Amino acid sequence: MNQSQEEDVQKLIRLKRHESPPPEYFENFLEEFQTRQRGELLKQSSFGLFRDRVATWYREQGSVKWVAGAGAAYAGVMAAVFMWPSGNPTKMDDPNMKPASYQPNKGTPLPTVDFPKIENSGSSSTTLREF
Amino acid sequence: MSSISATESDEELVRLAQDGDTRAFDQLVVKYSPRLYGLVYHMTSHKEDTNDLMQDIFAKAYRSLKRFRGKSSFYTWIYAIGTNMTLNFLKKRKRRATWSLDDVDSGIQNDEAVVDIGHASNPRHQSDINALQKKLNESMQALSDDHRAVVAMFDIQGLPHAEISQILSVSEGTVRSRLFYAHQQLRGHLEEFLR
Repeated sequence: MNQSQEEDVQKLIRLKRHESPPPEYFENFLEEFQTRQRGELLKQSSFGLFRDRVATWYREQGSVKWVAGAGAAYAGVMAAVFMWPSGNPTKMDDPNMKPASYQPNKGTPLPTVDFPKIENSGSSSTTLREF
Repeated sequence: MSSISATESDEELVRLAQDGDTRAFDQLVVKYSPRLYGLVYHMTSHKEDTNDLMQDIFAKAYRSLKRFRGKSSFYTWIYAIGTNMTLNFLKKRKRRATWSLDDVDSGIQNDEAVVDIGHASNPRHQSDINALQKKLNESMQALSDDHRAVVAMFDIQGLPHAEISQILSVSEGTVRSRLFYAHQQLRGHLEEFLR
């Protein structure tokens, strides 16, 4: 394709410049943009605003931010180490709570098992064992 | 609060907007929305998508404004945001692409290229501006997203190669080569309208 042919193509493609929305479109566009922007600001939670401010502040720092970041990470790790629950049992604060224990029902006799007599050298008595 | 004049420079408007002056940012929206509209519209080929993307582009620019250091012009910066967002959108969209011919204003009748076609020997061309417009749209649609972006910026919007290379973060050689291949492809589609 020579230069003149390329220019002919360009000339035709340039016709697309005439595709444009009516002028009032851009006035409405700005209004729509402002409404949306305000809506977004209202929707943003206070935590979100705080997070944005912190992020902006952080971005604005120079090389200091890496030192600050490392410091914050170190502080986070140390806090986690010290605040991690130890192996000690927790105290029961509720006075009505008692430790669980086995309370056999004394009204019902426990089943008994007869074991065959075992001849022991030291003793001749029969042992009845309860379970 | 300081008053903003219409002749305020971009640098000043950006500085005011960075300090939280929303009216300054509004001025930038007013100034750049028509040009940005052209870029996005010729890349997406869809009015509603263009409108939605324009809203998203300016919203993102507003959120990112604090990070703008002024190494490039505001125009280049917002064009880069617009181009990247539109290219990402097009990657996701792979569906309809309808042009709105009713958007064509009367200026096209007097355009040098149309007048040339009108004087061409083939009488079919004289009465068929709509057919030409349709063919132009189809030809643009046939291009890849990257090629369409450079055609929209260079041929339709008249941006220089250097600026396009900055916006797209590619070399000027890449811009020229994309344009060359795009023009070749377009020539194939528009043969009947070329003398």
